Parts: sequence; C-alpha cells; structure tokens
Amino acid sequence: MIGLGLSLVGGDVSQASSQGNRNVQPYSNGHSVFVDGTETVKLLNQSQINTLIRGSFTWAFWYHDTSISTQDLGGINLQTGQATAIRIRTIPVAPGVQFLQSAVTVNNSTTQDVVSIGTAIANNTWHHIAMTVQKGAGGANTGTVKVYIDGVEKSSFTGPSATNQEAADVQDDTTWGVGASIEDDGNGGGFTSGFFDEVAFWDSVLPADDIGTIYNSGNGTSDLTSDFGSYNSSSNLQYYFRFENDYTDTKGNASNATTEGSPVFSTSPTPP
Amino acid sequence: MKKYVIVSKSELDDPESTIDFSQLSYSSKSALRYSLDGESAVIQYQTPLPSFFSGLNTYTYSQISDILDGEDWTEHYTQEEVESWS
Repeated sequence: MIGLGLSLVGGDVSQASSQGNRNVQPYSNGHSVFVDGTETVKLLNQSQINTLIRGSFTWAFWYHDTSISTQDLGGINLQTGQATAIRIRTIPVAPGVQFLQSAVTVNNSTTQDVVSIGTAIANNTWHHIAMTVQKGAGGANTGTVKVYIDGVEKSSFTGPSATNQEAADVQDDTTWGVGASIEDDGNGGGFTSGFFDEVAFWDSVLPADDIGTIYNSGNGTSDLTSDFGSYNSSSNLQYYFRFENDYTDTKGNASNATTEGSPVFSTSPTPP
Repeated sequence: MKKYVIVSKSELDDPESTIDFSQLSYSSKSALRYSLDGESAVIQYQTPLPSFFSGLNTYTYSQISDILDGEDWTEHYTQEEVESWS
C-alpha cells in the first residue's frame, strides 16, 4: 500500500488510494500525469493530426488505471462534419471479463473491432498500449489496424482505405489527447481516471518486435528518441510527451500540451 | 484542494449564469464531462468554493468518482451487448 505522490500542479488532490507498483527502473525524473475522470490532456492539433492519419502511424502510451470502467483512454472522436475517430476503449462487463473496443474512423468511414481481453488491462498496474495503422497500398486498398497490450497483439482488423486516409481533414479545433476521446466541440467522451506516461506518435507502423522492446517485459522504456535493442524506429518518432513534470514534446515538433481541468504530475505509482 | 460540483446544463446554458470560467481550469463549458443524458456536468474547482457555486453540493475526489462510475455518468454493458457489436 502506498499513497499517491502527487506534485503540485494545479493544487493538491485530496484522495487516498491504494496503488500497486511494478518493480521498475524509473526515469531520473519518473513522473506520469494523473487525470481524475473530469480532465483531459490535449496533445496534437488539427494540422498534426491530419498529417499523421493520412499515412501509416503508431500511437503508444503507458497507462495505469485506478478503477476499470467503460472509458476511452484517449484519441479523437468527431461526431459531426467529417467523422473521424481514433479511439481505444475498455469495457468491463463482469469481474475478470473485459473487452477492448478499437475504432479508426477516417473521412466518414468506420472500421472497428471488439475483442475480449479478460484482465489484460488490470487495475493498479502499468500497461503499455499501442495502436498501429498500416495504410493500404493505394486507392480502395484497405490497411490494417493492430492493437497491442503489454507487447502482445490483442486485436487486428481491416483499416480504412488509402483513399479515405488521404482525404482525412479534421476540423480546425480538433485535438488528440489522453484522458478521454476528445470530441469536435472540445468535449471529452468516455472520460478516464488513471495515470498516463510516455505518449508517443510515429509516422510509421512499429513492428511487433519494436513494441515488445518498448514494453520490455513491463520494465519500461528507454528513451524512444534513440534506437535500442530491437527498437529501430526512433527516426520515425514525431511526438513524444513524457510528462516529466511538464507537458513538452521531447521531439520539439508540437507545442506544449494543454489541459482541461487540472491534471497533476505524479511520481507514484512509479512510472515505467 | 480539488473538489467538485455538479451543475445543470440549463444553468450552464443560461446567458445570465454567474459561472465564471476564468476562475476555473476549463476553457469553456464544452470541455466539461456531462452525464449520459447531457443534463448535468461535473466541474472541478480549487478550494475555497467560488461564490458562484454557493448552495451546490460539493464532493471530494472519492465521492465524485463513485458518482461518475454510476449509471448516470458511465455506460454499462452486458457481455451479450458487447459481443453483438463484433
């Protein structure tokens, strides 16, 4: 049993919670960011989103839940105009029975998958989650979407057509965040209560080996801006929010993330 | 300290509403978490209680978490429902 060690960004959080802890080697400044179920962290803007989803890409992050519920861990969710959604949703239906819903909607064309994942995203434990979107070869050719939990492929389904991806054009106020799938009016859908860390975006599909190397048997990541082990995708890393007590993009390609509500940086549970 | 209130949508939409978002940590009412029926929103604030929330019930993180996990704020599905989506 350990208490939450929340640093003061936006004030204290009055909460007592028992948190599990993995045996990890934290970064020198091992922080993550905690969202309380009413908050979001906005990472990418319209231009960055459009560029990313018009090609192949990977989105990955570490997540530590405090109470599994039906929730979107992050992404975007445009309900009007050109429908666009990149979402990862956990849906618990009974103790030990949990589903993962993954959706990629681009240019009004929706592809999604729902799979049973048991307790793959367990409470009070850090998990590494990655979504890869392989764009189709061209025209009506469809791509492939895969979702990995803790380095293991859990879902694979047909993605949008290349034509649809190339036509992606989200509205100018769209943001891609974590803590909820952020809707076109700025409202978050399916809010999440939990910790996020090391949110990264690549303009390529990471091979399974790379994702497994990042997961590193649950012992966390090295700095993703450099290759290491089987990870050879650092040159494709575009945005990298480490939440080391700030909202900067380590790659320097995005502005600082912004927040709705007052998420707090935390050193406990120890981030991966 | 963070605390929370629940405000009706009608209050948020009222042009005469005294809720001052410049004193809150949200950019606008559209950034709030709404109940499933869209009729209520939860708003976080830093104590002390802003005067425009006077008279409202206030909640701690633990209390609001229990409320937000309930049927009015979070979708709950059966296994059969979810399996039918596949």
